[in-house]
Amino acid sequence: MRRRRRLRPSLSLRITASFGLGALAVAAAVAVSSYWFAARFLARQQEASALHQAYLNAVIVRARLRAPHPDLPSILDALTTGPGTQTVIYATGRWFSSSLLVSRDGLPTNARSATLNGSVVRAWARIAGDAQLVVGVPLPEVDADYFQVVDQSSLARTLAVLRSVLLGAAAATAAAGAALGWWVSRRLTAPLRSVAAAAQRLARGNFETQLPPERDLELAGLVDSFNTMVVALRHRIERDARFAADVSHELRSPLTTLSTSLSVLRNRRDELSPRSREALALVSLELVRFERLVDDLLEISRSDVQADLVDAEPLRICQLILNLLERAEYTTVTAEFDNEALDAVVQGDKRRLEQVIRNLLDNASAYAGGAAMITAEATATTVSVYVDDDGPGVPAEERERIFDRFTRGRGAARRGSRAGTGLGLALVREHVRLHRGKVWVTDAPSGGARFSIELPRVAR
Amino acid sequence: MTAASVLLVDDDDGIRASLRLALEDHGYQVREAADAETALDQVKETSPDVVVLDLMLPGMDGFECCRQLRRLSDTPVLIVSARGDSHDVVAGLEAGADDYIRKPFDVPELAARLRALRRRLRFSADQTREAGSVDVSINPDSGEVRVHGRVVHLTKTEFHLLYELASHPGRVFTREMLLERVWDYGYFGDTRIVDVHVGRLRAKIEEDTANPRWLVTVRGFGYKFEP
Repeated sequence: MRRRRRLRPSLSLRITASFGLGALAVAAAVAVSSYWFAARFLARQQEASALHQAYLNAVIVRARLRAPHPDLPSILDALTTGPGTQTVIYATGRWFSSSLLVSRDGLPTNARSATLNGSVVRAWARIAGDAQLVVGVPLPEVDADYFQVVDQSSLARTLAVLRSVLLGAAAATAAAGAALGWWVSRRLTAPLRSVAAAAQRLARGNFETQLPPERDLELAGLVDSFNTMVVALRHRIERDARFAADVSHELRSPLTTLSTSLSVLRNRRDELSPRSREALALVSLELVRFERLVDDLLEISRSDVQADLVDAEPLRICQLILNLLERAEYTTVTAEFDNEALDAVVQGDKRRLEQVIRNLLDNASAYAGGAAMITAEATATTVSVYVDDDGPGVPAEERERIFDRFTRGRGAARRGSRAGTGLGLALVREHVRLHRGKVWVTDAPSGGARFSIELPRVAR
Repeated sequence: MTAASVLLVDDDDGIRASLRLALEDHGYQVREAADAETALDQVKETSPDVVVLDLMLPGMDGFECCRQLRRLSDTPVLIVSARGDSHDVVAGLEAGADDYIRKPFDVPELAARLRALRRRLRFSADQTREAGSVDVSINPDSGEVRVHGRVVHLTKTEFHLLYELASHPGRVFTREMLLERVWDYGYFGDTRIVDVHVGRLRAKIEEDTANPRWLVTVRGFGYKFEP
C-alpha cells in the first residue's frame, strides 16, 4: 500500500532555481548601476560641451549686437553650431530662431523665464518628441538672451542600445547561473541517485549490489556503510538459506530410507492385519506430505538467495499448461486459450513455471474443490494467465497474506490430506518474482477466486 | 532373462538396506558398496548390469567415481542427487552418468529408471537397420560407430541417442521427444539430460564441437542429424 505524500520540489530543482535567481539578482544590480552611471556620465558630457559652445556663441552674439544696426537673422546664420543644433535669440523684445522647428514657444517655460531673469540655464526637454538639451545664456549688457537647443536623440538611441545589451546580458547571466546550478545539483545528487538505484536493485533481490568507491570524504562514509550493510544482509540471508537447505538436505537420507522401506511394506500389504494396514496408509500419506515439505523448504531457501533465473529458455507458457493438464490429476480442469496467447513466448524456467501452475491448481483443489478454468491473455509485452475456481473466494484482507509462508487461508482450518505444505503460494510468488512477473488474487467472474499471473512476453 | 544385478553405492546404511529389500522385491540381484573405492573394485570383479551411485560419498566423491568407472566399463550409471541442484546434476551427467534421480525418490520411480537403462543395454540387438551417413556409419549389429572409418567408442545411451537422431537424417527432434525415445521419460523429464549427452556425443564424433557438422542444434526446437 503506497501512501501519497506531499512532496517538495526536488533538490536539484531547488538548487537550479536558487542559482538562477541569484545570478539574475546580481546581473540585474550590475546592469542597473552600469546603466545609471553611463547615462549620467554621457548626459554630463553633453551638457558640458553644449554649455561650452553656447558660451562661445553667446560671446559672438553679444559682439554683433553691440555693432550698430545688428541684423539678427544673419547673426544666427553666422553662429557655429553642430548638426541638430538650433539657436534662438531674444533681443529688442522679439524672438529670432534659426529654424522653424524651435521658437519661443518651443522652449520649455521654466528654462525660458529663468534665463530672462538673468540665470544661465541647462535643461533637458522633450521637444517634438525628441530629447533635447536646452541651454540659455542671458546677455544683460545688450539686453538680449541666447538660447541653444541641442538635439539628443542620438544619445537616447545609444542609451536604448545600452539598455537592451545590459538586459540581454542579465538574462544570459541568469540562464548561465541556472545551468550551473543544474550541473552542480546533478553532481551533488549523483551519489544520492546511485544509492537509490542500488537500494532498488537490493529490493529486487540482487544482493551482489555494491556502490563504486567514492573519493569524497563525506560520500565515502555513506558508500562504505551502504556496502557494509549489503554484505551483512547478504551473509545473513545466505546463512538462513543455507541452514534451511542443510536441514532439508539432511532430512533426505532418512526420508529415502523411510519411503523405500514403506514401499517394501506396501508390497506385502496382504500379509498385514487390517489395523496394521490402516497404520501403514497413515504413515505413507504423512510421508508424502513430509517429502513435499522438505522439497518446498529447499526450493524456497534456494530462491531466497537467487536474484535471477539461471535455467531460462523461451517457452510457450500456454502450451506448457496444456501439457501439464494432460496429467491424470488435472483432467477435470478446462483451459481456453486464443491463438495469440498460445503463441506467446516467455523467457522462463520450465521446472519453476510448471511448479507455479501446479501449485495454483493444487491450491484450488485444497480450498475450492479444484480449479474450474484456466484462461490467458497476451498483450504486446505481457502474458497473463488466470486460474479460476468455484470456491468461496479469498476475502479482501487475506489477499496479500496468503502468499506469505506458512499462512493458510481461513478455508483451510481443516488440515485434510489434501492440505499443502503451507509454502505452495509463497513459492508461486518467489518463482513469479524471479521471472520478473506479478501474481495476485481477485474474484473470478464466476464467483470463486481468480489467481492471476502476469509474465513479461518475449518479443517475436 | 536372468536376474539383473545392481550395484548400490551409498554411504548411508539405512538407504542401502532398505533399497536392497525394495530392489530384491523387483527381482534384482543387489550388491552394495559404502564408498567409491569399494564400488570400483566391485565393478572390476563382478561387472554389474547397472550402478546406482550416490553423489555424496566420503573420500572420493560420486563425480570422480563416475569418471573412473567410465574408464573401466560401459556399465550404465544412475546417479542419485540429494540436492537436486542443477549444478550437481549436470556435473554428474558430464562425468559420464546416463541418467539421474533425485533423493528422496520412490521405489516405482527408481524401478522405472532402471528398466529404461536395461532396455538400452538390449537396444542394439533389437535394431537391424543401419543408420548414419557417408562419413558416420552406425551399425546396430556390432554396436559400432565409425567416423571417417575410425571406430568411436560410445556408451549404450550415447549410441542409442545417436542412432535415434541418425535414423531420421535431417528430421528435428525436440528434447522431449528424445527423452521419451531414449530415456523413457514422459514430458516431465529433465531436458538437460539430453543436452549433456549431445555435448558428450559431439566431443566424441565432431571435430569442432563449437561448430558441429552432424549433430546440429535447432534453436528453439531441439537437435537434428545433418547427413
